[in-house]
Amino acid sequence: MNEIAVSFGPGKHLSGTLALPDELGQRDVGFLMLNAGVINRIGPHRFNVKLARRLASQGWPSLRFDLAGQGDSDNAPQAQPFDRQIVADLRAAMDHLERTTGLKRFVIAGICSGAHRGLAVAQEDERVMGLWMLDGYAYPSSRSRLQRYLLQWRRDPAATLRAWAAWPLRFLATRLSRPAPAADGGEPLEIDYGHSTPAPDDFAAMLDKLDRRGGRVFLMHTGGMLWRYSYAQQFHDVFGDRPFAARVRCDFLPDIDHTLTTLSAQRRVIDAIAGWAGEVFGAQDAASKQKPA
Amino acid sequence: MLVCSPFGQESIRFHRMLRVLSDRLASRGIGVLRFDYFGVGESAGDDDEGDLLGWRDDVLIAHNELLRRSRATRIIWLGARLGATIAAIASSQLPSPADRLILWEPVADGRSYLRELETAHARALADAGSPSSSTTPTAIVDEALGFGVSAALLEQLGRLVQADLETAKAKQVILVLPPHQTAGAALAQGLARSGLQTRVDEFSHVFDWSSEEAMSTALVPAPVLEMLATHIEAASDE
Repeated sequence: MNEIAVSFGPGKHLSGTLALPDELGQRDVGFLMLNAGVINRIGPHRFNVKLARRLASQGWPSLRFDLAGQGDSDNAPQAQPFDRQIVADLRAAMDHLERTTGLKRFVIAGICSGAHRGLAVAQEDERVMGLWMLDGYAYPSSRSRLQRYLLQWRRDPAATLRAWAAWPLRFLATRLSRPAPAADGGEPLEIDYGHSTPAPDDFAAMLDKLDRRGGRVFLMHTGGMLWRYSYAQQFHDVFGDRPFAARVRCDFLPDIDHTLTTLSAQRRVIDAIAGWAGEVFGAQDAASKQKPA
Repeated sequence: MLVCSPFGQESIRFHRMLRVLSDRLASRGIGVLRFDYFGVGESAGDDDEGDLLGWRDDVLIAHNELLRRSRATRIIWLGARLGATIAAIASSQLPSPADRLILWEPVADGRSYLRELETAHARALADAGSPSSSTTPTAIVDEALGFGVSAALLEQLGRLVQADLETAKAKQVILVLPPHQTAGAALAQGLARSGLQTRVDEFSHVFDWSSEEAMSTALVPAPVLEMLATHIEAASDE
């Protein structure tokens, strides 16, 4: 494996590290990893470095990089609004990985806000053929709502009663001034700088768009999201009737925390991603290699 | 200027600060080398392959690389937390004294530092909502705050004492410490007893070294940037 520090993007304002397998050309997709919240490109607890090295050992090239104004990257020479800049930076990263490796299909591996950003760019750039999203958007089902109430109740019955009693007022406040705080004892984990979660139908449309072009999605929800995602089948209970649902892998890891603070959690998640990549994209590699030149 | 970064989560917290500081210094003509020790950050090696002696040697390699690339005639070293400790120890191996060592909250008692890591590790797991977590610290065996720790590093930290830092070799040492810190005052006295010209800067801003919180905490607090830049620029102007 070779690791190469690179600068790219307009004005070379973005900093990143290419991780290239010893032999290029074994795989048809490359991976992109970006910041999780404000953590630089090594990822929480160096997770991105560990993941990139594991993927490279299995033939997958990757580029981990810092978005404009984060980690080692400069601000963009002609900065765009926040959302647009992120899309531009991710596209610049794909351009660079394409120039370096010749690959034209990419998987974006994102944690928390990084997952949201991957989904956003997948709507605009057809080179995105896969998403791994750790603790990205989550949508409640009837069962998860009930479990959330029970969780609240078990944790602090008195506070829960007070919160429920205040619900009508909170509801009114929420309608009058958004965004509203999570006053019901929940602990929002998304670091989305005030950006709202897409409505379920909008989220489904985004996954559907990716699915229709053959893209694949791997969602993972940790114990840090227990307030929002509380059992293994929740995704399929909410979206199971959608055509893409059968092709979306969704793992529930309640004994792992949001930033993968233990080494065993990191190993488990890396194993899962490497396994998923092999199943989904390894088969595509084999198919493409059987095509006549 | 050569930067010796802290260990683990503290290094992540300090990363953007160093980037901004480096830009400022470079714009004023001061070359800066930031690097990761072996087994840390972007450098080669796994988490559990690093240890203090290897990192000490990494600092010396980085020092020579900075000299070669910048052709600077004077080199200032900035170390923070365990990075300050490594800088002090590494400077003892220099053929001639470093021009100035700026040591921000150095770790002078390895056992206390290990206890701090244990507490922060337990708190991080509890704060992260890990269902099996407990706020009761347990001894570090092979990981701390999400980073692997080698047996050699644990053993070296367990033996680390103030006297190790007193072997530093520098024309001047600036110790940046929280106000009224007894251990820091003892270290300043120890460095002075070793013949090092030592100055203490009591710095009251509390830098959130090990937090994993992204929000509600500044990555580049202005007082910290100003404090570090002032010390470095003053040294370069002398």
